[in-house]
Amino acid sequence: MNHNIRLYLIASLLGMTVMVGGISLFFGTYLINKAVISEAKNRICFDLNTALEMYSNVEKQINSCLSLTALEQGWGDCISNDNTQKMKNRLTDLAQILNLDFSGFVKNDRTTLCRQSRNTPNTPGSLINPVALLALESKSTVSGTFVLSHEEIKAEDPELAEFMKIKLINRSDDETQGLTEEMSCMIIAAAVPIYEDNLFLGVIYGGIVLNKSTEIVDRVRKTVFQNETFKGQNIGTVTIFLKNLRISTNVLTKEGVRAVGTQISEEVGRKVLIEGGSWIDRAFVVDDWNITAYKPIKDYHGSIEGVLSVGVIESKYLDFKRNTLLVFIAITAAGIIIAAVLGYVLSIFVLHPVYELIKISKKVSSGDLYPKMGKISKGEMGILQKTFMEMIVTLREQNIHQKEESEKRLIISEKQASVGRLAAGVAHEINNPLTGVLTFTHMLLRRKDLDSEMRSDLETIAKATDRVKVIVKGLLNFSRQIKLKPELSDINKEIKETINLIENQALVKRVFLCFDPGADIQKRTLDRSQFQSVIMNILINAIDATDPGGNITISTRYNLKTQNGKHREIEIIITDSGCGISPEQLDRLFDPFFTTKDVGKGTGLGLSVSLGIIEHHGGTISVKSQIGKGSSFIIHLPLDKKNE
Amino acid sequence: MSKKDILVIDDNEIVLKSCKRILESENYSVTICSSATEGIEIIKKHKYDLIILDIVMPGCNGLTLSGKIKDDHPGTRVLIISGYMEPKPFSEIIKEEKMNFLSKPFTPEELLTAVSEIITAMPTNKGIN
Repeated sequence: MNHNIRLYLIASLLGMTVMVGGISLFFGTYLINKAVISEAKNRICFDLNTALEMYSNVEKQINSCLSLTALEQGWGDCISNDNTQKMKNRLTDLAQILNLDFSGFVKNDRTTLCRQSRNTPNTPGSLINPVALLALESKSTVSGTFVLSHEEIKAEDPELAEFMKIKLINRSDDETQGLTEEMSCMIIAAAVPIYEDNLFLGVIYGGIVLNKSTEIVDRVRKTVFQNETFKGQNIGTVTIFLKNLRISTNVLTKEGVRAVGTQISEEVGRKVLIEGGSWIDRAFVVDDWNITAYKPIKDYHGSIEGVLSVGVIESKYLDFKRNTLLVFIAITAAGIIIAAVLGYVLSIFVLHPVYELIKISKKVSSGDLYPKMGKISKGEMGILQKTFMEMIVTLREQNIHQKEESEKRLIISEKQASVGRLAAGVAHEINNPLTGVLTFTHMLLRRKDLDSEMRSDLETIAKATDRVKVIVKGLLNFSRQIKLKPELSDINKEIKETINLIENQALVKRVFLCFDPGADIQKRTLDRSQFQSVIMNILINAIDATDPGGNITISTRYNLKTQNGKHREIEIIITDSGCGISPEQLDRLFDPFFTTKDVGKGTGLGLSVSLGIIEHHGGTISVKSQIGKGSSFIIHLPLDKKNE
Repeated sequence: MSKKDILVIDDNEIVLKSCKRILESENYSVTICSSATEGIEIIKKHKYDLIILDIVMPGCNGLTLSGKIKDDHPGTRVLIISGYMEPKPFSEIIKEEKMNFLSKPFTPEELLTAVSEIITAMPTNKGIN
């Protein structure tokens, strides 16, 4: 029970920490989630733009180089002299610079004079390159992305055409149609017209094939993601789609080869290829979740033929997110531990004076009015401690005052009783000899043979004795006068009041008073003040005789040895666990001026007067005692006649 | 009228002596006794017309003894004497029981008047015997 406050303190600190930690964890998770994902999306969007820029740069580069080559002098000579070797040399230089897959020269009469490619250099073919054809027709520069059929690419380079075939993977719908290979090719190409002396000679063209190409996608990745890796895996991927087919990519399959031949997801395909929009979101790429961005690639004619996409593997961001959350959780857990420890330490600091106060209060309530207060704390606790000590001082003063009051009251009562007792005793003692004096004086006066002088003397004695008789009667009347102020009183209540008066005195000595009032004790006429002084007198003696830690019990009851089944007597029994009274002392216990107390501490009249008072009430006091075990004083009080 | 037998019980010798002197001067037969216990023995042996009793005596108080005499010897009268009218219940008992009472100190005349009043009030047949 005493540790409740400590528990509350720790619990509230813990609760606070858990609450704050929990809330920050909750919002932190939310914010991180949002920030990380949106950051990833922003980045991927930016990356995609870079990729697109790089893609179009390839086209511009081809265009520029072809244009420069077209401006060179001597194309006319080559045609007129049928010098294809010179053309070929020029195209070979160009192909080397631009890393072209194919290039060629088409004369204005639509004959392809020269073709150049990686595998079969200078293979003449009948089919005119469609890009070159466009330039021939428009007599102007044509450049962009094109899709060539298998036949068209075959005309350039049969081996290349074979190589560029892409085997479809997991394409269930196409499998049903019996298609297992993609034959067409996506290329970036340009064709530039050649004029000499304002005469249109023909067109040179060149291009690179994107199918199975690694050059562009790897260059983009190197530039954009700087080949950053996460757990041994490149974090970024770049892919070029022909329609929905991956034709150039650095996304890897489970087997670790480039995932050429796999398809775009249906949802993305619809959004980008059909609707022509862009896509930025999570997407399941081959076998990993990625954060991806897709944009359509339009061909020279403006129709959507493919898609360029970049992606970042999501697990990198998830990992970052998880790490951040772990840090959050660790901070919260540390906070909880610190709160618990802090709460414990704090409770010790805060509650130490409280426990001290509890200890002191217990001491005070058990009667020790001089408890030692430890260090006075600062703040409210210090005020409480100071107030408590002030309260004890007041209590102490009150206690002393009360004790003085009760002692004063006792002394007055005792004095009154003593005077009465003395007067009555003196009267009693004088009355007997006075009876003798009166008797014999009067008997002598009866004699006839007395001479007048003797008679006169005897009469003087008789008169003086009568006077003494009157004085004694007066003395008795006086003692009677101060004696009793009888009132109908509740004995238990009177005893309780007396105990209240003396309780502190007992507590100071650490003697415990226990009152066990008998049930249904009838009221009786009593002089309340004198009755209380008797009880107090016996109690003070009992307290003096009892060592600290001892007990005094007070009980009231009817005497069980009743007459004719009626209660004739009330017994008030005061038992102490004190030192006891020896048989010799017991004989003289009620004698006036007998005391065992130190000089100045007792008058020796207390018990004598008490007995007198009880006798005046028609009762008596009996004592039982055993040395070392304690004493019992039993006040026997007969009931009022009318109550019997 | 035969001599009346009177027993005086009081722990004070002077009182005993005084009573004997007064009562014998009026021709009563007087026995004196200084304690209640002794008195009880004497009463057993002899029948008295009147017993004069002090209230406060060691060993036994006069009122208890008076009750006992009343029960054991219905014909015997009792006169209570005391110089000590306290405690109050004593006087109340005396009043209620209509006991004969004379307070100390008394003059010979007062004692004789009290005694003769009791004797006169006694049934005559008792007197003849």
